Amino acid sequence: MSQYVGCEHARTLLEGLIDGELSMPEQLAVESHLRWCDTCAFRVEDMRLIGASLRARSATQPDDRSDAELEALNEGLLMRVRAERAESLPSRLREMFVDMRLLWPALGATAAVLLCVAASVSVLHASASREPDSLAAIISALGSPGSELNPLRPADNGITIPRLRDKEEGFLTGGTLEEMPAEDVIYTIRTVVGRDGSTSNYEVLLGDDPVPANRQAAARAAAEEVALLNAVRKTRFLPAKTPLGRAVAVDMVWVLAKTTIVAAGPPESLRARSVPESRVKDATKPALPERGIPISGQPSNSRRSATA
Amino acid sequence: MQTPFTGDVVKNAGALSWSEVDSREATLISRCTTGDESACTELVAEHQRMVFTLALHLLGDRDEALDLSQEVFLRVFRTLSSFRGQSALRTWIYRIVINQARNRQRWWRRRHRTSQVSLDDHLHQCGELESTATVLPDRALASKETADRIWGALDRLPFDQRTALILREIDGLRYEEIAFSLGVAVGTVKSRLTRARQALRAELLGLRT
Repeated sequence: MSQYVGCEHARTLLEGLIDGELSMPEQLAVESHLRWCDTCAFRVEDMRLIGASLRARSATQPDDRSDAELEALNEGLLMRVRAERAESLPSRLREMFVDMRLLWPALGATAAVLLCVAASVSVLHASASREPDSLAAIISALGSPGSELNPLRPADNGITIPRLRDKEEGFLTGGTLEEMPAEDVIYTIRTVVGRDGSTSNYEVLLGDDPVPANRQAAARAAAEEVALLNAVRKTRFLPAKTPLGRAVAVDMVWVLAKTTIVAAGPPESLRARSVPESRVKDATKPALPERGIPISGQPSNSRRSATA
Repeated sequence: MQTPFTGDVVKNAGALSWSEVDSREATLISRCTTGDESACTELVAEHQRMVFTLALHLLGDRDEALDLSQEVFLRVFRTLSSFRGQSALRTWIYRIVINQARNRQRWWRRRHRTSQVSLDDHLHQCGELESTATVLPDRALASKETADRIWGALDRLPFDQRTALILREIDGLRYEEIAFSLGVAVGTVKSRLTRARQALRAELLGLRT
């Protein structure tokens, strides 16, 4: 017994029935429906008539002319396929290697081309890198204040002044300056202290020495200046920081001064005072040197040097 | 009248297997891909009528159909190495025919070609393609006037609906095969067939009144 289907449902299945796409139960149900529903039966009949009309007028039976045209099509097609295969890359590659005499010039030319390409690329790469004094580099430096290229100036803007690291304190004072024979020396040095505390772009702005009279003295002064700049180059600072704690590069002027203080002798009042006998012996002992860096050829209690 | 069909079920395009292709067809394909000219000739001879007929139905112009057939087979030979047996070879070729025909129609539309010859006019000009000796039962069923009106209405249908109906009624493809050939879902095929039949039935009803 087949399942009952109403008109509405049957209409959705009519095309499946005509096209043979229904399952067996569905087909039985629709056929059963068509026995009593004339509307759906007419609909099916119309659709079958449409299919029949299409098939009747279709060109499924080509004439002799079509046969000849199709034969020509076949030949033309094979010619085009042959031509395509002949022009295909593998075929052309095979052709290239038929004559081996052409291989070496071809390889040489290829190598030359590759070399030219590499040279062009390297030239392009070199020209593309920015020069430090180019406009692009200047704009880039202006865009990043506090970098080594655009150092800040510590003023009332809350930026701390770079300080010498503790272990660096004696480097200049006890080394280079003290080795200078002059008793009083002042150097003014401009330098940039970077974000890592290193110095760069240093230059001596003002030396305290008068212009040397002879060549020997001028050479000595130049050597002293070079030694000083070497010392500056090796100096490390605690970098300057913004109020937010960010390390920045700063442009600073550094005044280095060596001052020698010579005591003229004990004051008159001390000379007149009598010395107890018991302490005379002690006074004959040599005085201990003062703490500090000794200065060559001078007693430590009579000369002192300092740097600022 | 339904044409014989080699594969019963069409798989998804992603499925890679040769299960839909019989061994003779698989051998023919592999010979074609290795450049065997006799295999190419055999493949063309086997499918050229089918391709030409479908192209003629879709484009309605004999010269265009011949030109399209050649393009289709060139495309077949260019892409045969990528055929993985996801459908019968015939269905795969149908798909190429439809795509090429659709592209050609788009090209026509862009060029504002209005002088294309409809299949109906073409049949009027060239006469019947069937010989009078081979009268089919369908012909007895459908009168000449009815067939003329139906074909006229078919010509006016949108390309996708017309293609679906031709593949179903004339080439006898199943819904899954039509879906593969058109590159759409089976549900879309059903709806296109329904709309196409409704339009043709309206023409038929108009003829009766």
